[in-house]
Parts: sequence; structure tokens; C-alpha cells
Amino acid sequence: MGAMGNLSHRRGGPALLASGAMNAHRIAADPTGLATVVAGLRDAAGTTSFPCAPSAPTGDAAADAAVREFDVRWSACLRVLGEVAERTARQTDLTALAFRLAGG
Amino acid sequence: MPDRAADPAVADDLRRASRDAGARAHALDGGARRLLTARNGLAGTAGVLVGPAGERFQAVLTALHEAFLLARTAHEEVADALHRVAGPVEAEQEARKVLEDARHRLAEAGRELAAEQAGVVRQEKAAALATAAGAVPAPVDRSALVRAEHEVEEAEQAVRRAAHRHEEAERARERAVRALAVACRGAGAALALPSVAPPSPPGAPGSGATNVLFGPRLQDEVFSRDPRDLGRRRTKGAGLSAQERRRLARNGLSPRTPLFSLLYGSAEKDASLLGGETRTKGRSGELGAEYALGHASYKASGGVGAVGGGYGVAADFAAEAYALKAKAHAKLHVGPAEARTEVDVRAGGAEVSGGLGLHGGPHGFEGRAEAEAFAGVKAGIEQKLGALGFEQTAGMEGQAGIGGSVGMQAGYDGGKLKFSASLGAALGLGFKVRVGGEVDVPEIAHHAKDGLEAAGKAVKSLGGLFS
Repeated sequence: MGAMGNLSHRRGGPALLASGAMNAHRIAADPTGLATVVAGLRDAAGTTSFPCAPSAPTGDAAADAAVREFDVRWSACLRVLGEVAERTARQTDLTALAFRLAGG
Repeated sequence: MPDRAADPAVADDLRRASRDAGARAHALDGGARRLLTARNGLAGTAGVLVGPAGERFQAVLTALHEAFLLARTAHEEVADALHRVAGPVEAEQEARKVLEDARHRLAEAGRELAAEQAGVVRQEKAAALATAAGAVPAPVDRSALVRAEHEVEEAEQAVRRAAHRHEEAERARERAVRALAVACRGAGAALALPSVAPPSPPGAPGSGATNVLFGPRLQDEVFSRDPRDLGRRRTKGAGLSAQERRRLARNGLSPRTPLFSLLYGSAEKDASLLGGETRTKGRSGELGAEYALGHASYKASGGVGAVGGGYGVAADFAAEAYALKAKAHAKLHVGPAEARTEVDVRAGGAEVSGGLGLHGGPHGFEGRAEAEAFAGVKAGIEQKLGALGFEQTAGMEGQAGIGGSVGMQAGYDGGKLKFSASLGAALGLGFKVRVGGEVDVPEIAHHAKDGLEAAGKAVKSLGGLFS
């Protein structure tokens, strides 16, 4: 397992990290801290879902079309952003779990 | 401006839409702040995830944060624009009503004036008849006519004032609506979001780059290469870097595979002072040669954990440095058979290797153990022969130096049964032998099926001779 010399996996944390034991090729994590990151990502994902807003015409066809397009495109984009944040949260959750197992 | 007879705009609805967009902007601002906090938690010496993985995570969170800020700004701008439209719409509608009232008043005043004018005409006719009959005519009362004329003048002035105000209000409304359209289009154009998963720099041989991979690409499935294409275009790995493709090939992960691959990693360095390669292909074969002077290489891999479809443990290590490394190969195809011969020479250097693997998954299993250490000069030849789903490999290496190696591998993957073994030792002069083989079960079955069909046809043709 000499190959793992540069790929250390251990329970980390500020104390360990500040100790200088880490270098650019080592990996360490604090699962509890990662759980906080997961919570932040999930909170952020939650801010991207909105109920569909009723239309508010301006009386100008071009402007109404622009508003409609804005709503449609950004709704889709926010849905994607939410998915990205949620997916990242899941990955971070798995990472925290893996570090718990690896460092346990 | 469009026909205002059926104006659908309602200022209160526009204000509500503005509040909705503002609420979105506020929520997105909160999301952005939470992402910033999460990112700051990852960063620095007080971070919770350190190493290249942490940097990658941080890059993802930074890009997400930027995307949220972009979304917040876009919604803020549109909320402002909607709010700025509501007032002018309301003012234009009020000015239009004032104008309509003034026009109505002018029409009434005009009708009253006409009635008064008719009354005066009647009085003048009666006075003329009385004068013709020698009677004293009654005086014509024009005061009502004068009042009616005054009313018309006032109504006309009111219409002019109202029309002027309406024109101004209409222009203000047009300006605000145009600004809203511009804001919406501008915010839509801002949809070219930053890439949330920046591609890793390629670890090309010779570049000296070191990359430690960590976990999956996080959103290569979600984010297409053109974010303006809001369709959920799955890239299926098409947008992956060469390094990530190698990683997929190695551990079987697809970008869509949920994984538990934290402990998978890879570090790689490869450099040489001088090197070259040549290759010639023909119809039935290929010739090639390559060399490197001052060759240095370092590789590492990792494992542990359930990884996509290949569960198990894996570890590898290799380091080598040679003054000269040269290799030549020849390949020949004859019908379904293929033969390959390779000559490998390494001089003036040393190498160490390691290896341990145990995988099991839905597609097969593999067990592997290898270890090697050597310093000196060595030259080897390897021969590979394959046909009809069978393949055998044999290699022999002559060594001058000191070293030893032993290795075994056996596995079954995707219908292929593989095995290999090697053993070597040198103290002064020495040698190393390697044997291996592969049995491609589906291909053998395919050839067997072809053979049976050919036999069936032959039997049928024989039957035809006697019928």
C-alpha cells in the first residue's frame, strides 16, 4: 500500500490541518464541517424553487414577450442551479460519510 | 403605442410582479450568502476539506456562488424595471382618462353651443317676422350663447392640456416599458453562466503535471457545454477531459453513476529529456518504435471502497528512472489471427512497482498482486498470439543488475477470462518470464455459432446432391 503514501485519508480538522501535516497531495477532511457545508448547499438549493408567477401584462407585446422569456429561461436556469446545488450537497454528504468510514 | 382601448396593463399587477421578482432576488441573495459561507468553510487552513479535492470543491462552490449572484442581480434588475413601469402605466392611464373626460366635456359643450346657436337663430327669425308685421321685436338674448361659447373654449383648452399631459405620460410609459424589455433581455443574456465544473488541466506525459483526482465530476451531467441551451442535455461524458476519460476507463464510473469514490485517486508525472516515436501501418500489419533519453516517471493510484460497478480495493505505485528507454513492436494480421512482438530495452536506471487489486462488481471480478524492484540494464521480448477468441502471451527478459519481481493476476470481466503470472530475479545476471492468456467467451460462442451455421449449410448442400 505504498501507493497510498500520497493519498492519506484520515479524520482531519483545523488542528490537524494547521499542524502542517498536509501537503498538496494529501487529502483530509472534517466530516462534521462537511455536514455544515451540506446544510449550506441544501439551503441554497431551496432558494431556487419558486411558485409560477401570474403574468402582469404591460400593454406592449414586445415587452410582454421579453418578460415571459425572462421568466421561462430563468425558471429553467434556477431549476438547474438547484439541481447542481442539491447534487453537490449529496456528493459532499457521501464524502463526509466516506471520511467517517476511512478515519473511523 | 398599441391601441389603449383594451389596455390589459394593471399597475397593481405590475407592482405585485415586481415584488415577486424582488422576493426571488432576496431568496437568491440568501442562497448566495450560504454558499459563500460554505465555500469559506472549505478554504484555508481552517478548512474542512484539504488537498486537491478541497480545491476542486472550492472551485465548484465559487462557480455556484457566482451563478447565484448572477441570478440575484438579474432578478433585482427586472424587479426594479417592473416597479418603474407600474407608475408610468398608472399615470398614463389617469392622463388618458382625464383626456377622455375633457373630450367628453368638449363634446357636451359643443352640443350646448349648437343648441344655443339654434335658439338665437330662432329668436332672430321671430324678431324679423315681428319687424315685418310692424310689431316691436323682442330683443334677442345672446347671453346663453356667449356662456356656451365660453364653455367650449374652456373645454377646448382643457382637451389641449389633457392631450399634452397624456402625450407626456404616454412617452414616459413607452420609455419605462422599453427599459423593462431591455432589462429582461439583458438579464436573459446573462444566462451564460460560469462553468460550475471547470475542467481539470490535462496530465499529459512530459508535461510534468501532477493531478490527483477526487470523486466524480459533480455536474457534467447537468451543465451542458452551452448553458444558454437550457435543455437538460446529458453529456454522457462527452465533455470530459482526457484525464477524466482515463479515469472512467479505469474504475468504470460514468458521470451519472452515483458513487462513493472518495478514496479513489491518481497522481501521475512523466517526463524525459529527449524522446521520439515513429509508426508505420500497412494492410496486414504495423511497425513502430519509440525511445526516451533521461526518462523519469512516477505514478500512483488509489482505491478502497465501493466504486461504481467495480467494488473493491486497489492500490498501485510505480516509479522509474532510466537513462535510456527504447521499445519497438511489430504487429501482423492473418485472417482472424493476430500476432504481436515487442522488444523493450531499458538501461542505466532503476524502477520499483507495487500493486494490489481486488474488484468485484456486476460485470466481473479481478484479483491482482504484483511487486517489482530492479536496478541495472534489461532487455526483453514479448510475443502475443490471438485467434478465434483465444489469446496467449509469453515474455522473456534478460537482466543485468539486481532485482526481483513476482506477480499474479486473474479475473473475469465482460465475458473475458484473463490470467497472467510473472517471476523474475537478478543478482548480476538474471531473467524474468511472463505468461498470460485471455479467453473471450462471447467471441468463441460467436465463432461456434458461425461454424454450426456453416456446417448446416454444408449438410444442406450435401442433401441437395442426393435429392
